[in-house]
Parts: sequence; structure tokens; C-alpha cells
Amino acid sequence: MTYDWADAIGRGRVTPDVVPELLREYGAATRATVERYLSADRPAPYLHDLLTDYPRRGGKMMRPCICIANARAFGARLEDAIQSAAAIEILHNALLIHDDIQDESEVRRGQPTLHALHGVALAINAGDAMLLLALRPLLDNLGSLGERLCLRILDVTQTMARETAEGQALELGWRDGIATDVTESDYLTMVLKKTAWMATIWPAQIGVLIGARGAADPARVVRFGFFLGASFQIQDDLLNLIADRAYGKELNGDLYEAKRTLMLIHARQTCSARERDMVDEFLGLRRRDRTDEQVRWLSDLLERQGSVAYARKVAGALAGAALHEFSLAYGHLPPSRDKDFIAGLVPWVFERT
Amino acid sequence: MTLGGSAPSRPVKVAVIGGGCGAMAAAFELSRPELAGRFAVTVYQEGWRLGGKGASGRGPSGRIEEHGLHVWLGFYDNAFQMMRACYAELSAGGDSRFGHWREAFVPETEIGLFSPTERHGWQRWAGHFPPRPGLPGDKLARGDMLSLTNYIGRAIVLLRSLLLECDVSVSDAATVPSQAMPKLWPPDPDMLTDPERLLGAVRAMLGRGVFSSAAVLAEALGLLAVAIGMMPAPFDNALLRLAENVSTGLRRWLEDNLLADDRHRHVWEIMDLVLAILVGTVRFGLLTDPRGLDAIEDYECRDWLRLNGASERSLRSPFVRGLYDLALAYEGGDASRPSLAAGQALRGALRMFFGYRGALYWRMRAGMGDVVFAPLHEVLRRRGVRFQFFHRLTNVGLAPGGEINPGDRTHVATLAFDVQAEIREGREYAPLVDVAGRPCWPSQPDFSQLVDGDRLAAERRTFESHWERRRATTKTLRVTDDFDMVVLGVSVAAIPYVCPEILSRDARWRRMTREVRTVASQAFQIWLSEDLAQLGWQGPPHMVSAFAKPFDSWCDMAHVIPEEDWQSPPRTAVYFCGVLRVEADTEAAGDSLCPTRRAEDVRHAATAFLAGAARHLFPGAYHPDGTFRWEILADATRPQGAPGPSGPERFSTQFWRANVNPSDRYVLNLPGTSKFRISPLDMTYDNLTVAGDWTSCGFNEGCVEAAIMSGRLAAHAVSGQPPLDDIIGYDHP
Amino acid sequence: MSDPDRITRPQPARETPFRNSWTGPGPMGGNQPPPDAAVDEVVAHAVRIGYQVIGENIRQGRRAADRFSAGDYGVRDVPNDLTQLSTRLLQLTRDLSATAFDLFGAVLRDPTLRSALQRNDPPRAPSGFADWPAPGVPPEGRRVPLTCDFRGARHAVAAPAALRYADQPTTLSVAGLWSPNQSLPPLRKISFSAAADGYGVVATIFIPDDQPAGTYSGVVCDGITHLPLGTLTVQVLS
Repeated sequence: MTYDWADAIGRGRVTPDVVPELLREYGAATRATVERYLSADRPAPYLHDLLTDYPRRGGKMMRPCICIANARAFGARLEDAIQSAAAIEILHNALLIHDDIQDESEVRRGQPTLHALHGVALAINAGDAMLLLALRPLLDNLGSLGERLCLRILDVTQTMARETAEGQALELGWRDGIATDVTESDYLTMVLKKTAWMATIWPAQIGVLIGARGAADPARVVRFGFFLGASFQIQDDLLNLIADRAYGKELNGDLYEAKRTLMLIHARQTCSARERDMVDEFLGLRRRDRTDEQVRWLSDLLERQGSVAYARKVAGALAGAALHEFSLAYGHLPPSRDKDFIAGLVPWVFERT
Repeated sequence: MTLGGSAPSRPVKVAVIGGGCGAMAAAFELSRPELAGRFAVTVYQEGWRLGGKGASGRGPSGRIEEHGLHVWLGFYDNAFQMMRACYAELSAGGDSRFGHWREAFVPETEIGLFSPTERHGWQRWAGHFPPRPGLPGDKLARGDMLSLTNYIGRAIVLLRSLLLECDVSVSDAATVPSQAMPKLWPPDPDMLTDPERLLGAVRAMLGRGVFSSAAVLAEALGLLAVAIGMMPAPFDNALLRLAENVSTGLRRWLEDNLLADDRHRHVWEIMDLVLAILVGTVRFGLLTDPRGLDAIEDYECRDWLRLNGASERSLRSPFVRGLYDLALAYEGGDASRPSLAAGQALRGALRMFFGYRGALYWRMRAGMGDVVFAPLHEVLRRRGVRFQFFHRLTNVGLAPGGEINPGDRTHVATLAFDVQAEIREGREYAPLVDVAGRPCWPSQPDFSQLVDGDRLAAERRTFESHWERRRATTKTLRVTDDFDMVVLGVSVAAIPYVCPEILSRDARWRRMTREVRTVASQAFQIWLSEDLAQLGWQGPPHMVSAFAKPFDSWCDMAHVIPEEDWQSPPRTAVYFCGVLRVEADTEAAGDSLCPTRRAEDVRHAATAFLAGAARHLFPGAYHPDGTFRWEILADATRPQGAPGPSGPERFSTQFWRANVNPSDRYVLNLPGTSKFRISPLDMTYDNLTVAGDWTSCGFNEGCVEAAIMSGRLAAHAVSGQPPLDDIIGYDHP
Repeated sequence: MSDPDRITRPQPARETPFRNSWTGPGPMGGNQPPPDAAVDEVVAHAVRIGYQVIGENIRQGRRAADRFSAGDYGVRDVPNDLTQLSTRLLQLTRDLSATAFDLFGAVLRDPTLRSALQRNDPPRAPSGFADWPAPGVPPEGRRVPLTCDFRGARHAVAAPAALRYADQPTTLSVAGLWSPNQSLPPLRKISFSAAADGYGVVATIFIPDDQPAGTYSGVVCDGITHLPLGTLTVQVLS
């Protein structure tokens, strides 16, 4: 349970090959279905290009693949899950549009963000439309999966939506309210609500429902999904801090935004009182008022306090917990590529770039 | 210094607080001869007798006076194991006063249940449960492995046998063309090893549509049993559909064929309930959920059964009512608020009906104090365990600190007691008296052994009453000097009074005392000069439940009369019990009249019961004009022939009890409350553990077995023994 | 207070029972904690907090789910419409019963939802019968493909078919499929559902074992207006 992932990865690849393979295979199938849903016979002006933009930029497709893999691991076919997978991907992209606007980001997947290209108003429009569009494939489940399963999927979707909204509100509240005393527990709660529910828990729940035809309780994957999603998010924050521009997002974007990452929380808690005052002052500024020099100082502080190493350790710990929960939730399933894929996501979270 | 490493140089001093099943089980384990005196155990007990809720006494004419009705169920493996070992150790040591354990525990196979009829009458149903091989307390054999698959398989066998017992009309069988129906039962041996073929057969059966005959139903059930037994196989929804189809078809068939026939009505109800359990097991994924039956712990039992298709009729059946009555599962003692956690209810029902060895239940030859706690006291004393009677815990003092957060650790520094009375000449109190040749607990303490005994007797000290605060002195024990380990065996309702400091600092304990609720109970015993057969009740069954409130459960105890010491023995005794509704959850500590008032309430209720509802049970006990024949009540308080009160006043010569002391309150398992229980293995206090049926002990229900499992867990917590695998039923779905 | 002579309890190997009924008593996979790995305090702390956080979330979620199923759809003010929309959707689906197809049609018939879905003129998702064109001559090529799924032991094939779009979202009905030979029993057990891939309609036809071979056909109508939408023809093979 305390397997040192960061260390293991430093020594060589641990992610099983099945992970990139299935990401490619299921990702391609999902992309095709998404394209079909988003494309129209009559392209609507000012909308069609925006809708298809983010999905076409590529992406790891982790979320929809989690759904498909869970469904297949529990005994269903790809066809049974593909619509839900498409819904998941569409929803993810819709939230990305909104996230980018809220974070005032300028780059997404190596290109300008949607609102940078088209303006905030049109981007918001597109984001809303995509949210609604994400429901269509879920409604189509009525025909292919039957009324009862479709309702249950909508049920867990509603739960996820509520959690995600609460998570977004939490994070916004910290930022706009200039909260300074955010703790690790608060951070994990926010990550759980804002990221894990939508990225790892909900897709797995849909997969479980589809795979076991409603006979297995989707609650069984909540803990696993949480720990996987949490280590995913922490690793995301780490990469944003230390990776170079090849990662596709702007360097130090999170620092400019004063995003309450685990590193920031740790650094703020462990530094001297004088340094803490300087951090708080930084947090109180607006993004456009924060200077490059201040950001560089903050980045150095994180390094000095060992916050990066700390966050890596926490991510590793949560990954260990994820593996433990994996055995509880999936242990009874017969061996399969999909089962290996799900377990393999844990090291993959660290090794992806 | 942690135990479990090299043995410390001196014996570890263990203070066991309480004298009920949990505390005694812990003491029994820690003082085992195999441990070679590693633990020096001292038991601290208020009042003059051991037993807790199981304590019994002897009153006038040596009559047995109990807290209520106690039977031991045939699945109480840990409890029987302990008693068998206890009795064996006594006779090996040359003590023959208690006899053999088979004489102490009497097997019973019939249980009676009542259902109310439209015309305010009662209809009786008797269930016969055949004896099963082995005896309770035997080691578990391979085939007895406690898994849901096993239970479900047995439930299905029960269903099939009940189904096939009912008449299957010839025309039914004829409507199914034989060549269209593949022979599915007994299953092809190949099928048992080939999941694909089995699933294929399941699908074929589904393709047939709705089932319409008993034969097909029986075969479908057989298939379901095999399919479930094949798990884990790739989990297939066909199984769920089969379960639901079988369930629908079966219900329809049952309604058509059985409901009309009153005689079979109860068979229908049993099958309906078993079906609901089967469907629920599959639908909730209980067979594969790592939490087992805890997965449905938050549901109320009836609600969960209803969710899985049980009809309202079955939910009101005597089986469900009897389940609730025997578990006293009424919140606040209010009969209109039945509440029982589904997970534990199911676990208890499965073990009770499919897990018993020997007989379904066992009655004791005398009071539980005489049969259980007297021999235990003797064995423990011989092993060197010390007993400090008349000690009432007032506080568990902790190491200095503030609020105890999850993950924190602390320890017990002091134990504070009220010493209710001191023993003369500094001796150990000798608690047992001889009645009809056996050592027994008396209903009153022996004041002659107490310092100032005459004065205490004159002041009518009621040492067992929560409201009795008078004391001789106080005593404080200190860690390392006076004790190293503490086993806290008082019941949960008493915790606020005996652990105020823990409650002030530990939120988990506060939540526990709030959420793990208890209920008061009432009981009365009558001795009759005519036996029940003469009075119009033909038994067996001797134990009956689901009768009219408040005394819904009662038992014929004729077999205990020879153990009493009557000048002129009556023909039988009958014990009645039920919940007692108490308005406030705990009576004010200062309200010392409370127990007296409650006892009066019970007397009135019992008298009214005998004057009224009991006529349905013993018609021969009534005059033609409907009044109860009070003269048949045997008076133990006067010499034979002396005139006593007549009419309803005669009831005052019998025995009744209101169990309102906090530690006498019966522990409930309300939905969603198991998570608030604390396990004896919990490590927050590194020299304290807990024991009792209120703890998280694997079988979270108010009963002897749970308390003894808990006591064994407490012993494990202190010493590492017994191994957890040895506690039968702890690892259990 | 650390008195080294004070005796403490040994750490138990586990604190909870095994409830997994597959392997019965005994350790299974992840049930057993790892053997005495020296647990780094940071790691232990992180895992402990993690479990607390998820535990609290699950507890709250249960309460919210109970409220929801009890009909209390209280939704907080949140920055986007998603929650409210999905709440309305669920409310609708709960209040309705009937077949999957009816359900889908009814959802689209709800004017508020339809207008919400049509806001910003969303592109046509080929997932059903939304946005039917006005009555009159439908543009060529605007037809719904109809495929058949046969149930039963007999073999059958369906002639290629397509249905006209109906005026409004609706249900489909067919009285039966008849053979030109009047003495042969018609096929009556037919139901319709949306196709899994989003295009078209699937007719599920149950063929009794003793159905005579032959060609059977019938008219598929709009369930409300009873206007014909197309013909369904199947051939039962011998």
C-alpha cells in the first residue's frame, strides 16, 4: 500500500502496455462517435466550429476510456458503452471551455483557448451548448440499454453534476474570496468534487452500471475513483509546475492564477511568517497585477520548502490507496485486458507526459 | 512496553469491569490455563451478583427470579464453546455440583408464533425445525463454511422442499409438453463445471417466458441454486433476470394456489420472504460485495424486503413480527416504531435458521445465573481470578490532554469506584448460596458478610439500582500500580455514567452513546398449580412469540420447578416478557422513585394481561364468566396452606420486573447505526478495550453470542489470544 | 506522559471482520494490510485524510440522494445550468412511465426542454426524431432507416425499409404483419426502439416456432395521428 510510485517510475516504465493500447483503441472509437454527435447536416454558424474545436485537438481520452473499460471488464460490449463514453468526452470538453474562461487561460493543448480565439461570449455559448449536447447520447441509452439502466446512468450523472458544481464553486470561492488558510483536507475535498467525480468516478460508475446491467452497485467504485482522480490531479499540478512547454499548457499558469495546489498549501504552511505574508499578499492580487518576478519567487519558495517532493509523495500515497481500493472494487472480476487497464491507470497517471 | 513481544517479568494486571457475558468471556479467555498465569484478572462488579442482563436470583421457596426470558439459539457457537469448556473444566477438577452441560441446556425444536385474526382472536402457528447434526460449539466442518452462497443454497433447498410439499395438480404438469422442457434438475454434472453451458441453460430457461407450473418453478429454483453456487463466474445479468422471473412466476403461482387455502397461508408467507431475500441478494450484489451484508446495513429490514418484492401481507406475518419481538426491535420501546437494520437482521436470520447445530434453540434447566454465571464464577475463582463485588465504576480517568481526534492515542490512567459496601474482615465476598443442592445466586445480598450489614439491610440498600448512590467509601486505582489493562464490560446505556471523562473528550464515544440505542424491557413470572395442558395449551412448542403486546413473548418453564425449593411444588412456571416504553431515554439520575413507579406499571400491565389477552393462550385458566382464576397462582412467600391474598391481589405473590437500569437496557441495532459502534480491537486507548453486545463485534445484535464474541475480541485485544480465526462467525458475510 | 514501564496493548493484525463471502474467512488480496512496511508518516497522513474526505463525501451523498428520491430536488445556486437541466430531466423521467420509446418522445415533447435544447440552434443530433420537418413533401433522402431484430427460433429476413419522418415526435405502431394468404396467422409481437448507433429505428419481431413460412407485411403508422409512415415486410424462412 505504500509502493513508492515516483521512485519506481524513476527506475523505468511500470505502466503496462495495455494502457496506451486501449487508450488509442477506445479513444478512436469515442472520437468517431463524438464527431458524429457534434457534426450537423446544416453547420450552424458561430457554433459548429467551436463545438468541434476542442475535441479535435486530441487529448488523452482517459475519461471515456475508463467508462468503456469498466463496462467491458464487467461483461458488456464496446457498443453498449460507446454512447456514454461520447457523452463523457463531450461533457469534459464543455467544462474545459468554461474552465479556461474562468482561469483566464490563454493556451489549451498547444493552441489558443477557445475564448482567446472567438471571444468570451461565443465561447460561453459553445460551452453551454455542449453541456446540453452531452445529454443526448445519454438519452440514447434508452434505446440500447433500456429504461431502467438509462435512468440509473442519469442518476449518477446528476450526482456528478452536483459535486462538480460544488467543487467549482469551492475553488472559485477560495480565489475570489482570497482564502489563505486552505488546508490539505480542504484541497482533497475540492479535488474530489471538482476533478475526481467527473474525471474518474463518474465514468467508472457508468461503466459498472452498463457492464453489470445494473446488478452491481456503482457506489463500489467511488473510493477507487477518488484516489485515482486525486493522484491524477496532483500530478497534473506538478506537471504544470515543472514540465516545459511541450506539455501544452502555459508554464506556471497555475502560479499566475494562484491556484490552491497542494504544493502551494504546503509551502505556505511550512515557510516562515515573513514569507507567509508575502504569499498572502500575492494571493490578494489580481492575476493581471502579478508580475513575472513574483511568480519566480513563489516558484523558488515551493522548491525551497520541498513542496514538490511532498506533493509527489502524497500523490504516491493516494495511488497506493487507489490500488488497495482497486482490489476491493474489482478484485472479484475475472482477468481481462480491461481489468489490467483500470489497474494500470494508477502508474500511468505518473508516467504520462 | 507492548504486549506480544517477550513476556513481561510479572503478570499483567487486568481489570475487568462488569459481570455480564462480555466481561466474563474476556475473563475466561485471559485466565486460560494455557496462558500460564500471564494475566492476573480482577473482576469489578456492582452489587452482589454476576450476570448483567443475564443475572438471576433465588427468592422465596428458592424460586428463580430472572431479568426476562433467556434462550440460547443453536448457532451460539462461541457461547456454547465457552460453557462446554467451563463445565468440562469443573468436572475434570472434581466438582460435580453443576452436572453435565447437556443437562444444563435442553434442546428444543418447535417455536410458536401468533397471528391476529379478524375477530380479535389469535391464530397459532407452530414451526418445527428438525435437529441438525453436531452440537453448538463444535468446530466448524468444511461443509459448514459461513458463506452467503451456502446460506442461499440452503434457502433455495428450503423453498423447493416447501414448494414440492404443496399439492401440484396433475393438470398443471400436463400443460407443459415434456419434450419442450429440457431436464434441468438434477443438473448435468458437466454443467456444474462449465459456466458457459450453465449460462446457456439459464438463458434457455428465460426464453421460455413466464413460469407456470410448480415443476418448472422447482427446476428453475434448482438451476438458480446451481448458478449461484457456480459464482464467481463472469457476472451475467441473466442471473438477475432469472432470479426476478422465478420470483414473479413463483409469487403468481403461490397466490393462485396457496393464498386461498388458509392452512398454507403461512407457507406462502415464508416463501415470499425467502424469495425477497434471494432477489435482494442478487440485486444488491451481496454475493460479490466485499462488505457482505454490511452493504445493506443502512436499510430498515422491512423496507429492504419490500424493495425486493415482499408483499405487505408477508411483512405483517408472524415471522417478521416474531423476528422483531425476539430482538425487542422497537425504538424507544414503542410498539408502533419497529426498527431493525436489514444487514444484521438478515445475518441473524440466516445464522438462526440455517446455521444451528443440534437444535434450533436451547432452554436452560434453571435461571441463567445458575446455569451460566455460577459455574463461570467457580471456574474463574479456581483459576485465580479475583472478584471485587460491590464496586461501581464512576470514572475512567485518562492521561492529560484535550479533545481526542481520530488517529490520536491515549491511555487510561485511573479508575474510580464507589465501594457500595465493604466485606467484613477484609475477606472476599462469597456470593453463592445452596438451593436444592446447587450453587445459586440469591436475590438479595448476604448482609451478614458486609460491614454494617444490619444497618445496610435496614436502609434497604438496592445495590443494583442505578439510583442507589449511597456508598461506604470510594477507591481509585492507578495504572501500573493497580492495573495494566482495562476491559470495560458495562453496557452502553451506562457509559455516560461510568465514563464521563471519556465522553467529554472523545467525540466518537459521544456519537456512539447517542446512536447505539437501547430499550427498556418488562417481564413477569407466574407459578401455577395446574400445568399448561390442563389449562388449555398443548405444547410443544414451549416458546412462543409475536403475541399481544406488551408481553409478546413467553415460555413454559415447567422444567425449572424441580430446581426450586418449594414445600409443595407447583405444576409449572411461565415467563413473559416484552419491551417497556419509557418516555425519556434516560431517567433523571436524581429521580429515585423511577424504578418503583416503573415496577408498579409492570404489575398493572401484567395483571391486566392475565385478566385479558392471556385467555387466548390458556382458556382453562378462566372461569366461565371470563375472570381469571387467580387462585391457581402459587404463592412462594407463605408456607403452604397459609391463606394469602385472593383475586387480582394474589398477583403480588408472583414476580415481575421493570428493567430500567441503564445497564439492564437491551441493545438495539437500528438502521445505519452499526458504523457508530466501537470495536474491541480499536486502538485509541492503548490499555483499554470494550466488551459487550453493544460493540462492533461482527454480529451486531443484542444477544449472548454477540457479547461473548465481543469478550473474546477484547481478550484478543489484550493478549493476542484467541486468534481471530477462532472466533466463529466473526468473519462472516 | 511516556512511562516506558507502562504496558500497552499489542497492535492487532486487523480491526475489522472479513465480509467477503467468496473466499470465506481468511485474507483475500487487498483485504490484508501489507506486512509491516515501515509507514512513512507523510504517506500515512495523506491516506488517512484521503479516507476521511471520501468518507464524508459518501455520507453527504447518501443524505442528498435520500432527499432527492424523497422528491426534494433542492438545487443550489451554481454558476451553470447543467444541474438544473439534469434535475428537470430526471424529474420528468421519474414522473413518466411507459415504454422506452414513449419516454423519449415525451421528453422531447416538453416545450421547455425542447426550446432549451434548441437554444443556439444546436446541430441535428442523429439520435431520434427531434425536429421533424413540417408536413408536406419531405425533402428527398430525409427518411429514417428501419432495421429488424428477430426473436425466436425461426429464421427470417427483412426487406430494406425506411420510414418517413412524422410531423411531431411520436410513437410508432403497427397492427401486425399479414401474409397475402389470409389463412396464415399474422405476426403481432412487434416493438420499436431507437437504434443503438443513433441512426434509425429497430423493430423487434417475435416469430413463434410454428409460424408458417412466407412473406408478411404491414403498415407502420404514427401512433397518434395514425398517418402511415412506411411499410415493413419480412420473410419467414422454412
